[in-house]
Amino acid sequence: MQSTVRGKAFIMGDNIDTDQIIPAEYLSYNPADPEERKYFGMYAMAGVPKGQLGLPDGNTRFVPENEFATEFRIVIGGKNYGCGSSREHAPLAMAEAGAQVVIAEFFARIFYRNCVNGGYLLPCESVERLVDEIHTGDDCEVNIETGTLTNHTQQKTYQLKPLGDIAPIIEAGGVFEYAATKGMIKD
Amino acid sequence: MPRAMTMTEKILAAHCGQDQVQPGDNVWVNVDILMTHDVCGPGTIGIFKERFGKDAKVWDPTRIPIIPDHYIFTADDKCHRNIQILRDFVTEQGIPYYYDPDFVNTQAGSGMPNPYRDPTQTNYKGVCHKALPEEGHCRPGEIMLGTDSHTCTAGAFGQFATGVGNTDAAFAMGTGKTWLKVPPTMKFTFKGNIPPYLTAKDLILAVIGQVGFSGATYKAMYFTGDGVQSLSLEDRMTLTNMAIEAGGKNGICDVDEKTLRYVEARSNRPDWTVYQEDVNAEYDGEFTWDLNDLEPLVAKPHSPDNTATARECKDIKLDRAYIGSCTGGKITDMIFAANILHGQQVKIPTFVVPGSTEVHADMKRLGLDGEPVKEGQKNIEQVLQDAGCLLGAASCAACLGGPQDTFGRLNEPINCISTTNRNFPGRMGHKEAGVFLASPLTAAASALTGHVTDPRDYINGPITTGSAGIC
Repeated sequence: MQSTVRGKAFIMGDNIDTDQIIPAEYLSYNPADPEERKYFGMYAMAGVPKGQLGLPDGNTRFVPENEFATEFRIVIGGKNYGCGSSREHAPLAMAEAGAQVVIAEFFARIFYRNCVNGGYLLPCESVERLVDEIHTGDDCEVNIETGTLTNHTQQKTYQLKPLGDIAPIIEAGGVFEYAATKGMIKD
Repeated sequence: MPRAMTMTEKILAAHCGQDQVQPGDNVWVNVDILMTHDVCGPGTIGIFKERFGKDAKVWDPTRIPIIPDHYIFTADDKCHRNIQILRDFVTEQGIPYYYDPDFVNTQAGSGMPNPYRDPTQTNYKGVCHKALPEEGHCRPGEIMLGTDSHTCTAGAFGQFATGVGNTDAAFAMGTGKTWLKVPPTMKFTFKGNIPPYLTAKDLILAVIGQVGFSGATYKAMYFTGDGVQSLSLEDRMTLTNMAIEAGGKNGICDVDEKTLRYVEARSNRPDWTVYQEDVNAEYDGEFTWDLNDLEPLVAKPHSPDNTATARECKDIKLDRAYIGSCTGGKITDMIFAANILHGQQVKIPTFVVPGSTEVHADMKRLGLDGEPVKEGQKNIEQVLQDAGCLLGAASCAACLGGPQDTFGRLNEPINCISTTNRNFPGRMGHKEAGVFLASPLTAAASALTGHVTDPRDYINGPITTGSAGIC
């Protein structure tokens, strides 16, 4: 696992549910097929209503139309990020587009678990509310060792909560890798 | 003195080989049942093969029911292809509990499938959360995982059931195990008897309205009291189904005579263990309602906790009604709706989707009292069709939007009252459509007026559901 991730931030609101992150109509693509998997990147955040996409202006596409990759590495939401459907396609879509870290005040548990066990994204909880301070496009850097988020654009640093019990799974890269280190499954 | 435990704690302890556990413990547990469907099955199978090898065998084929239900009635070739992936996998693995939509031609370009002609003459079942107990996969004391957030529905049977992603499912598919953090339990007590104008939908909307739709995040939600006991098993499934709409890890109900009657009639395994809540168990919050004080509720757009009484919303104009899904498409839900609609005409387009082929068969078999229809009486399906409802085939259908050609999907920014469980933006299709969650009684009453309507305006006495949905 890299100890720092630096890139542009994409800011979202509270209660971003997985239907917004990847709408149900795109779930017919098979993530196990490498060609089809790319389309999850194309449609990441396709269900977020107008005015809510890339705050504060709310009209910034996460992925440009007809493209597969995002310029945003760090997604920041408010409360209850990833609520709703258990679809693992949600963190997969964000990661497929190129996001590496998702930060929220707190996460819905299945989304969080999918981020960790599938090794898609590093999910970090912020100590304070960030979505009213950081703007979409700000140059941000997450440092896992110091547990901080630095906004280089605004020259401010924020504390992130420790990863806690799941740190060993994150460090291993996912639940399969973790289980292999414990001898539960063959490597 | 051993620590007093909740049902959820006892089930997790028994499955990790410990005498006791407490909230916050991380434990590796043995899984009893792993369910997947057509949306998450192909991805799960892909990870399973990638991680365990292309010739790998699942840990126990008899414990992996596979239930296609989401994208069945669509012309989308990719959806048909996904069904073929399931067919190939169950054949390769010798999985006995696979419920095939045998009327679907998976050749590219085959178009919209013609649905089953007779719901009793197909292997297809419909919505997984309804089919699981029908087909005998739900038992007290077990641990069930499913690649669907509404897997928590099975907690109505006194078991631990929760939704997982494809990676967790693939891991369990190969090992029979998963890791779980033991959740603290919130206790919700309902006192009294369910009155004829309420269903479990009103109870769970009251809960979600109270705690907020992230208020039970990471927690177990325990539903108890004589009010819960007065509900049918099907209605209890509505309570536990929507635990996830408060962020809950699982919902769970006590095991009583009704539970045992259902499970004894249906279970495909002979044994199970009944756990009871210890009297001194610790709770992370306790809430109590008297059913006599509750009114019919709706959840307004765009959140299940945005609740109001149906009466408060009487001026809200509706464009459509939708009666279906795992939470509102059971046979008892259909009987509730039919008792409101019989002999009248709906004012707005009203889509009815049975939760399973068994529900559909029962709609043809049963009358308004939930008993086999007698000569000269109309069955539930006839009552609904005579009232002007549009009847679809059993499936998840428009509950989650799905492909554009899905029956009942909201393709325009309209207002819909729906017996489904989730009303986030775009959930039923269009991002600007407004979904009002309600009981089948409230949805049916609203279909008659075109406005959000309290069902008490149309109920004169008790609605009995007889033996519907039990055996």
